[in-house]
Amino acid sequence: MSSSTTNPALAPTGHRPRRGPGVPTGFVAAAVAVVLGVAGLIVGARNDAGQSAPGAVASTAPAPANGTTVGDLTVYDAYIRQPASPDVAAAYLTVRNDGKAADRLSSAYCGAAGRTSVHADSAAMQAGEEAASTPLPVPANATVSLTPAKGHIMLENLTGTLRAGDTVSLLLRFDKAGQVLLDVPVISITAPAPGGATS
Amino acid sequence: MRRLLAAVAVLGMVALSACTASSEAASPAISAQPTPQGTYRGLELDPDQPRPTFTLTDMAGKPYDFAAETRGLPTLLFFGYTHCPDVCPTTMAGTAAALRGTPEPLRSQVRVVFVTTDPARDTGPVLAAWLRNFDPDLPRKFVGLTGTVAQVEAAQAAAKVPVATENGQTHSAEQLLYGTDNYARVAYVSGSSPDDLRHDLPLVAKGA
Repeated sequence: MSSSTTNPALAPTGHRPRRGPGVPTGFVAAAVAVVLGVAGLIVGARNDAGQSAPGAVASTAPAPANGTTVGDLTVYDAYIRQPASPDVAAAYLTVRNDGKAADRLSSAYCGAAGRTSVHADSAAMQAGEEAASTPLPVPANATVSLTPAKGHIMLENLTGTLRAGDTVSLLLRFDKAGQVLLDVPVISITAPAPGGATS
Repeated sequence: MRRLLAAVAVLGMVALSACTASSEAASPAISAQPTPQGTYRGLELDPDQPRPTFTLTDMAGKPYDFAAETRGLPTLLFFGYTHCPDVCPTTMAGTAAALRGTPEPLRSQVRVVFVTTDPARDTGPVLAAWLRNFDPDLPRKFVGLTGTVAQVEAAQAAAKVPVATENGQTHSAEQLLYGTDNYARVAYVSGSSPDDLRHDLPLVAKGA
C-alpha cells in the first residue's frame, strides 16, 4: 500500500520521554551504536562512515560544519519542530550529494515514533495517494531539502512528548550510500529553522 | 495585474494527511511572483471574496457566528486539522509570527479563525490545546471552530474554498484575509513568509 515503514526493532529504542507513556524495550540495529538517553530523548551515535569518502569532489560550497557524512552524501540542517499535536511531528533536513551518481532517501526510522515515513513527492499526494510514502531523490552533484509544505519525514505515534531542546535519533536509509544516524534537535514552535529557511 | 487565485484554488487543494502540502506547482509560482505590481504581498484574489456567513461551535462549545463575530475586523480564516505535522502548524506559527511583528492596536483587532476539517478528532478541547501552542504570548487568542461534517463542509463552501476530503485531511491550503470592508482580496499559502502577512495586515485594516 505504501512504502511507509514501521520498524519493530528500532521504533521503541531508547527514546525515553521525560513524561508520558512507558516506552517498551527494543533492540538496536546492529549497524548503529545507540546510546540510550535515560532522562530524555537523547541518543548519541554515529555511523561508521562518518568521514567524507576519498575522492569525493565538492560541488560548489564547502561541507557544512554541522553536516553528517555518509558516502558521497552530507546531511545537514536537520531539525524537528516541536509539534503542536501530541502524536505527530515532522523532521526536515538538507542533503548534498557530492558524488557522480544519483541516490535516494528511501526510508527513515525514528526511535521517538512508532511509524516513520518519508514524504517528498507532493505531486503524488495531489493525485490522491495521500497516505503514500514517497522517497526523496538526491541527484548527483546536487543539494535537496525537505522543507515545510514541500516535504518532510513524518513521525507518527510519538512515544513521548517532544520538547524544544530534546534530541531525537533519526536513521536515514539511502539506496546507495547506505544508512546514517543523525541526532536531530527539536526546536521550538517559534524558532527560526536552521540554515536560514523562513519556516 | 492581479494574480488569479482560481488556479490555485485547484492546485491548492492538496493532500495534507501525508502532510507534504502545497503543491510543487502552486508554491513556486506564488513565492516567485509576489504580485510585483499589486498592493499586497500575498496572493491577490480575483474576484474579491465576501466575508462568508456560517455558524459553528467554538472551543467552549458555544455557537460562533463567524460573520457577526468578525464583521468589520481584519480576519484570517484557515481550514485545517490538528493531526497534521506540516502545513497546518506551519501556517498557524507563521500567523503568530506575523502578529508578533504587528503593532497595537491592529494586532488585537485581527481575528484568527481556524476551522477544523476533521471534526471527529478535533473537539473544542483538542482545538484549544493545539492552538495555544501558537498564541500564548498574543493578546488576542486564536479561535478554533468545529461542528458536524456537514457544518464544516458548508463553511468551506461559504468561504469558496475547495471542500476537504479524506476525512478532512485533504483540504485547501489557503488562508484567507478579510479586511474591514468584509472582503478578502488576498490569501496566503503555506510556505509564504510571515513578513508578507505582516506587510498586508495594515492595508486590509484600512480597507485598501
